Amino acid sequence: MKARHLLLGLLICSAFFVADAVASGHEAGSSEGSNASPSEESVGRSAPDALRILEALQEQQRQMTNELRSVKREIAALKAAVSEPDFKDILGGIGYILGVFGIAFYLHARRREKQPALRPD
Amino acid sequence: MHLSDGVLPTAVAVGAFALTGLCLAVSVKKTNGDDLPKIAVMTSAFFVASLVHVPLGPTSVHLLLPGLVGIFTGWSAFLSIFLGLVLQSFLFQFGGLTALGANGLMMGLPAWCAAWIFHQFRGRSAAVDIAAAAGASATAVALAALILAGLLATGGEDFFGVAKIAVIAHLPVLGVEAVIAAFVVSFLRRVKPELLDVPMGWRGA
Repeated sequence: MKARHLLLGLLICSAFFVADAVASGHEAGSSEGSNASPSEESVGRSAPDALRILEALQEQQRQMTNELRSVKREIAALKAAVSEPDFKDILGGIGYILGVFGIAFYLHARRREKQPALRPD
Repeated sequence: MHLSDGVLPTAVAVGAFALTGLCLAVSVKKTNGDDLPKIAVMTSAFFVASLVHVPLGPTSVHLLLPGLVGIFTGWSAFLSIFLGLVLQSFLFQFGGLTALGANGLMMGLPAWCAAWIFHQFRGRSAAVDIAAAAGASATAVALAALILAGLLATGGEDFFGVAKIAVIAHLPVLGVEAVIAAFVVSFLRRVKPELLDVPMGWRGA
């Protein structure tokens, strides 16, 4: 989520930068005679600023991407750990097996009780 | 060595279910009620064995134990293994539900085969017994790998390619299981040899 905000901010910033450049170009074209207009001066100051901000933002984004990657890796590891059977599953499974065979054995024994001919003694 | 959902074509999966049902019926029919506790223990062992992983390079394979189950339960082995597979599928998400039929065949038939081999050679001498147990166990694992390759071949895979990979990947398991079976049988034939008395005849039960 943070990365998306960052990306948006970067986009807006770059949009301003482009708009600024276009505007200054337009102004330069319209007033060719006077080369020391106040707007051009301000552009001259703000362009390095914007570049610096852009670089800072890009650096931040790189860091965020790295962090995000490590988080994603952690999530994948967690998912693998969750899907792995734990002690409870194992005990539960053995319990099921013993239970099923216990019932089967009980039925077998009861049938045997009812048929004295099958009794071992 | 568990097939997942959607690996096999539907027709093969359904056919495998039918065949497994048939084998299951035979297995239940041939099961002697007095042997149920022993079968329960072997089922538990089979159920847990797949959690014992043998590291193999970057990946790992797990124990299968169809051979040992077959040796101790004879005809009941199919029932035992099928129940173990059902619970593995439910509790561990090993193998898909729709592939249960195919997985049952893949593990159950080798178990029967191992039982047949072992009881064919059994009773001559200690060395023969132990060797038969090891051989039967190893054969069961190899057979399981071959059945796996055969099942995958129905899904369009190249049989010999898959078979080669499956057998090679399970060579360590094959060896480990042969050793385990040899130890277990050599121990039990001294301590409680009647555990190894399993009626294998078609009629006797």
